[in-house]
Amino acid sequence: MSEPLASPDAVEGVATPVVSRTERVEALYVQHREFVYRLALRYGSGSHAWAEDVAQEVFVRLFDVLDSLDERAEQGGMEPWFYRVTTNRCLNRLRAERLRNAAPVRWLLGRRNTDPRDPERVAAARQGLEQASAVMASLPPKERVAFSMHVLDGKKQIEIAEVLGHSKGYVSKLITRAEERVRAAGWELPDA
Amino acid sequence: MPEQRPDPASDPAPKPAMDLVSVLEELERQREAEGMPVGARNRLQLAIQNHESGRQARWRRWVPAASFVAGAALVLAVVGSRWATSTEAPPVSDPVASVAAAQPAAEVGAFHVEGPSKDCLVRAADDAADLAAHCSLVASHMTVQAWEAATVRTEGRNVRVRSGKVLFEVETVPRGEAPVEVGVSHGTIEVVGTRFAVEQQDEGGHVDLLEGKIRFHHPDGRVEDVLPGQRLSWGQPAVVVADVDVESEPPSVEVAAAGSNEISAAGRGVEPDRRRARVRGTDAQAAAIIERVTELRANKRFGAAITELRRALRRSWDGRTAQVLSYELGELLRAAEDPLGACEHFVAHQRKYPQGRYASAVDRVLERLECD
Repeated sequence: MSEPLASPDAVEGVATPVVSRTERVEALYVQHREFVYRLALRYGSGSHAWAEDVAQEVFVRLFDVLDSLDERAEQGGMEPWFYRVTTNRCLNRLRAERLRNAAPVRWLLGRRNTDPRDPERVAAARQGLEQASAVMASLPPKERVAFSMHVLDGKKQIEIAEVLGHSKGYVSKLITRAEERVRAAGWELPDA
Repeated sequence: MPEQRPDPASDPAPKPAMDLVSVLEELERQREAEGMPVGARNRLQLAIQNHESGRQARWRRWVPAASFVAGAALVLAVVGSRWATSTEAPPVSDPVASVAAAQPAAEVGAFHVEGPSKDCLVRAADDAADLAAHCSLVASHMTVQAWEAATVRTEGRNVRVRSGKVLFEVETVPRGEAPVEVGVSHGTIEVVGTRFAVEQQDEGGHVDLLEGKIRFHHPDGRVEDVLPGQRLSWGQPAVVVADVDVESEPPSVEVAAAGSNEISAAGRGVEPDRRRARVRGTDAQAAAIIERVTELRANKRFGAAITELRRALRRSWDGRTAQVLSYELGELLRAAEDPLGACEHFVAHQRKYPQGRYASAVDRVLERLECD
């Protein structure tokens, strides 16, 4: 899914047409939006509003790094960049939400549980699969992200460590803990 | 990849002691098949298109301050050097030219004019200005950028748009201070701190809210909140609030709202009793309805559940929620063993949302029910 980051018309020795920054981001948006959105939807437990917010943050972030993209694209396309940035954005959001919804913080701020009630989530829950979503949502954010990357994206521990900025040993612990919690909730997992 | 949506009526919810990974993979496949909603795609595209222009406008806010500091430093340097050399030879440089270069940009009321060329201000009279495309009026609390030629009038710290397409970026108004107001032909937009685009033509116009929150004040005293991603139109053909979302129904049908006298003269002949604004339901309300319906359904009270959903669907919802509720109603009719009713409903659903998020699921149901 790698794509040319300079203008597609760019040919060596031929003047490159001027492509604005917005046009470059739009071109990348068209190529990668489904990938980014789907990844965000996974960590947002199927909430489209949540996924849309994350996707917007990711593509707006693209403006900040646009000037350094040519080299990065040559080194293997943009999908790893989108994967890393989207995953980390989701992780940050999950951690922030978990903190905001912690009982002491809610008590301090005088708020009730702020978990948004998304009608689509409620409808999806009735339509099955809710228990799988629920057990994933019950995992601490880091364990949830590392476990998902491992079992759904087939990432190796060293790759997960690189994306999340942790050591391989710590990632191994996160995955093991997540597996223990999932099994304790009565689910089966394929043997490693 | 199976595109089959789980059939809630026939597939029981998965119980633990199943393989979690295979269930999660199925969930991923479903989400992949559904894809990104068209509305979300368009909203994000709009956000990208507006991001860079907004950023440039934010950056330009510093230009007057920097120009002032540079100008002041230059004047001090010139005055200082003249004082130091007053008894010596005359200065080599021409101080008049330097001071002239430091003159402030053109002003319209409390705003400076900025832009890519010297011809930004096509015409200025008192506090009104004809701005060329891509030029801005800048003040500490607000930047007004013309996307195309626009006529605006400043009214103290507020602005009135006479014509043209204009992007507003307003600094968050500190608590206790009066909100910034933007006047248009059929009302006033109250701004708390936000980014939005106004297009005003002879007969009417609209505002697209990109970030934050604005409130539209009608001349008759009614007030409407506009949320990010929504568009509020005024004048021809009628004042409506609608999501900027191709999935939602045509706004004139969905939320025809009452307008001022000018608007009713310009309306589409909607009867007066139908010209009341319908209050849009919230996500929390929709979730509560679905929970109630689920409970009724679990107790086999299909009639009550169907009535509840039909009543809910008469209200105004955003496009996404309306589709969820409509799909739920179809499923409920099917579960209540009313295949004719289900067919009729799903056919209407498909007609209303031909490319909606449940399009493929509805296709399969119609096929399974052998609907004509």
